[in-house]
Amino acid sequence: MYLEIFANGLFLGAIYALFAVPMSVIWVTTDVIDVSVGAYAVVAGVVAAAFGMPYGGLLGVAAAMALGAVTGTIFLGFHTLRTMKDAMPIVLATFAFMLLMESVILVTVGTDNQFVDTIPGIVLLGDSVIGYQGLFNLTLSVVLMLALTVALKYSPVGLRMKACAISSKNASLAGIAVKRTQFLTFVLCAAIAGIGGVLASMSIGMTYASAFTFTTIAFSSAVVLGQRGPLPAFLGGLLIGLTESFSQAVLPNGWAHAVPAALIIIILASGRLPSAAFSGARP
Amino acid sequence: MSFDARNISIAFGGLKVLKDVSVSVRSGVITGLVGPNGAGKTTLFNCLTGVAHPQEGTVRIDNADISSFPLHQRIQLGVSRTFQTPRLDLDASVLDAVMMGFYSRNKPSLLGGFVASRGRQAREKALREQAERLIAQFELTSDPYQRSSALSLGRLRLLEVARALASAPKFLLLDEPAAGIDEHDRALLGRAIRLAAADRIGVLLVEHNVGFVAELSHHMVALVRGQIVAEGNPQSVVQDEQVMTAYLGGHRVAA
Amino acid sequence: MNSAYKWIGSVGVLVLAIAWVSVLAEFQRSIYSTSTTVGIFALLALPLGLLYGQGGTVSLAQGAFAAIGAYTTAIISTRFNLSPMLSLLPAVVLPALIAFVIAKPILRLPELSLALVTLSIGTVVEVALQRGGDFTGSFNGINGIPTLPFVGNSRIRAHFVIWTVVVVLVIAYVNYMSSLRGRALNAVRTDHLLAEAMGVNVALDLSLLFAITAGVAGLGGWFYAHTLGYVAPDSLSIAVSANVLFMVVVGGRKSVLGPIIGALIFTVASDFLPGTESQGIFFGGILILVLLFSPDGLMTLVPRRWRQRVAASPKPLAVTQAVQTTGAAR
Repeated sequence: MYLEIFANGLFLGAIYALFAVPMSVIWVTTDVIDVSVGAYAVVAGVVAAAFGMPYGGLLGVAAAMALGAVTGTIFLGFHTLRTMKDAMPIVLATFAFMLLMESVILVTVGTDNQFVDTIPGIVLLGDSVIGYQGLFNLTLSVVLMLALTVALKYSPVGLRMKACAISSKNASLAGIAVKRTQFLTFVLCAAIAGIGGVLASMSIGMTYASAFTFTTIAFSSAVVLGQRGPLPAFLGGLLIGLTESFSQAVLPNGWAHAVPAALIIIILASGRLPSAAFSGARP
Repeated sequence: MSFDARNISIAFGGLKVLKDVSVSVRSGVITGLVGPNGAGKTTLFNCLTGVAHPQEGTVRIDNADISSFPLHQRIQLGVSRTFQTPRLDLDASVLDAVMMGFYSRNKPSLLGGFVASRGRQAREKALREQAERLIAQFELTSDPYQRSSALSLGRLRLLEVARALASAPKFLLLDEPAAGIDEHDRALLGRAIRLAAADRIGVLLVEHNVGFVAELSHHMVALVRGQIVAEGNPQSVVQDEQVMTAYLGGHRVAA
Repeated sequence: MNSAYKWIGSVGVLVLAIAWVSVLAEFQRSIYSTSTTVGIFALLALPLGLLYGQGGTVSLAQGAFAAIGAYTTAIISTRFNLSPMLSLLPAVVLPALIAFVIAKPILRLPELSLALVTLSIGTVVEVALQRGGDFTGSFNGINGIPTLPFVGNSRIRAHFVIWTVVVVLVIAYVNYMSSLRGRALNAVRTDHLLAEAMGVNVALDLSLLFAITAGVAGLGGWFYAHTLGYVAPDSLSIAVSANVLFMVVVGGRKSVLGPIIGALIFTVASDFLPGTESQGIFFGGILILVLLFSPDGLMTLVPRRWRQRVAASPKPLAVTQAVQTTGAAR
């Protein structure tokens, strides 16, 4: 029985990791906490549900990338129009964008739970039921994470992203097209979130309100291990998934939803994350 | 009265910035702190005011240990400081900027802030007049309601000093106030510092312009690479071997 | 003469506007209802204007604190059958206390952290209200909340009571900003270190202001509960917090009347939207545009000479003109 809870936690966490990693990469590369990450995921999931797999999934990811491009444009717009002392206005703008997308989804598909066909089939281990869908989620997530790690380390785009993450000023002095790299970061990360969203619509379903929930989960996962970066975010996502799975067994019904939000409050208030992570360039 | 840093040692990430440094700011005495870039002058400043926390040593006012006091508390005890780069709300009027200096001595309680009493209005009027006198003294602007952004850098530095003096401090810490200002304004500044000392204010003056400092100070301290290499009356410090080497590679400094 | 200028520009304008609306409402009774809604939003937005506009500290928890206030009074007046006037104090004090306790550890962190934490507070409060069982009425909330003793069902009375409260708050705001504390608050907005170097106890001051902002939100919640007669977990939710921020940003965060204007714009615009679903599209889009192009809100579009900036030392008009001609603008 515990194996099932544990496995389900991992499978859920695999999806959450795909929300957390893009949140983290955008944060590290641009100093922006992109509140609309959850919206990328939900739009992808809704589109997938509307068109059915497999084409719906591809369309969904494409839609997510389009949204990411919009956010990237807004980001560049801010930096072009004014000198940004910190990322606060941009973050507020991504928050507004998320609300906008939630509203669009609400207007187009209403309040119903969005689902797309699950991968059928199960495996029995002792008295634990392990679904193929879950295994697929976990595998895909790990593969994507590995691919991202390799890309960040070896591919030209990845190296540029890393340089921007370390110091955008130095990167631009070194001749890197910082703005273009940052824009690509938004698009790429939206794609990853979109994949997570498609998996979510295959596994747990979602509604328009899930955008904010997913963002909360994404940020919570990104900070829970006390360090910024894609790997801590990935592991954080798995951890949050496990936490939710176990707390559903322990806490009264429904309170599990408050856990990621509570974690954010506790971790930020404890001051474990360095202040520099939040303020960008403060005079 | 005296405001002392005693045996301060501080390191940032393994790099020792100050080693066993002691400095005393005494009422009515102008102490000049000189040293090349990177000597640790601003760090010493920050330790005195509570912005930086030394690993060793104490900060005291009249022997009372205030090492654990936060910045705002030290300000309320009568310390006043300026910043190397003027930190001001450039949107605010010159008058508002100077009046900000009155805060530490005159702040109303939280509730008092929300209610305007007759007494408060009269107090505000008096403070406004005092601010206008300071503005005139420093020749900052003919119109006190002008935005601070319209002032030149030199005038902004003087504005910082005016603000610092507005709080009627016991100790005035000036971080390179003369950098980038012309002769006329420098003379104004010097006069103001002398007046402050005559008013029994203890002044600590960090400056790159050794001539300016030597002329003004009663007492001088030279800091090189985190350590005090010379200390005493300005003439002797200025002619000290180590100081000259550190600054100009051995040439004599015209005092 | 000095004081008159700042008062006319803020309280004077507001009182005139209220009088004018009241006259209009005699011809169209539904205006009283809309104006009551604007008034309640004004109670949530005005203190945020002080905290964020003047103090540079954002909060996305106004909805949550209003919800705490609303539920406190709902529970006290329905479950314990006490008069709404008795539940007024707890409805204001409880959110303020919670805010103060939470503010201390968080306010060491930069404002972005505070924004995220306040956002998360909203989530926790919403879940807590949903899972409160019979005590909070779960998803259905609490209904049958009594009306206020001196108001009853009269929208007219509600309108005047709420706006009287708003005027009192505006007076308090103007007083605060024209005192030394107001200048100190602007210094905090500019640079925390600068403010500390002038003797401002930044951590304590912001915590107190945050608590006051939450308390006034609680007051708004109290009015909400007794005006609507019904409260549910999604009545005063994160969306409301976002809307309140919208009001402050769009209306003009640095001016005293800005948040109230924002409340007016929001409420009137909502009435014209096809449905509550499309609110996010409309307001989200506008918020992005405003943040991008005019971050100090619509009030900055009003010419400086006529706009009431709550300056501590208001100047006679002649001097203003002199300043303009010498080009001492930004």
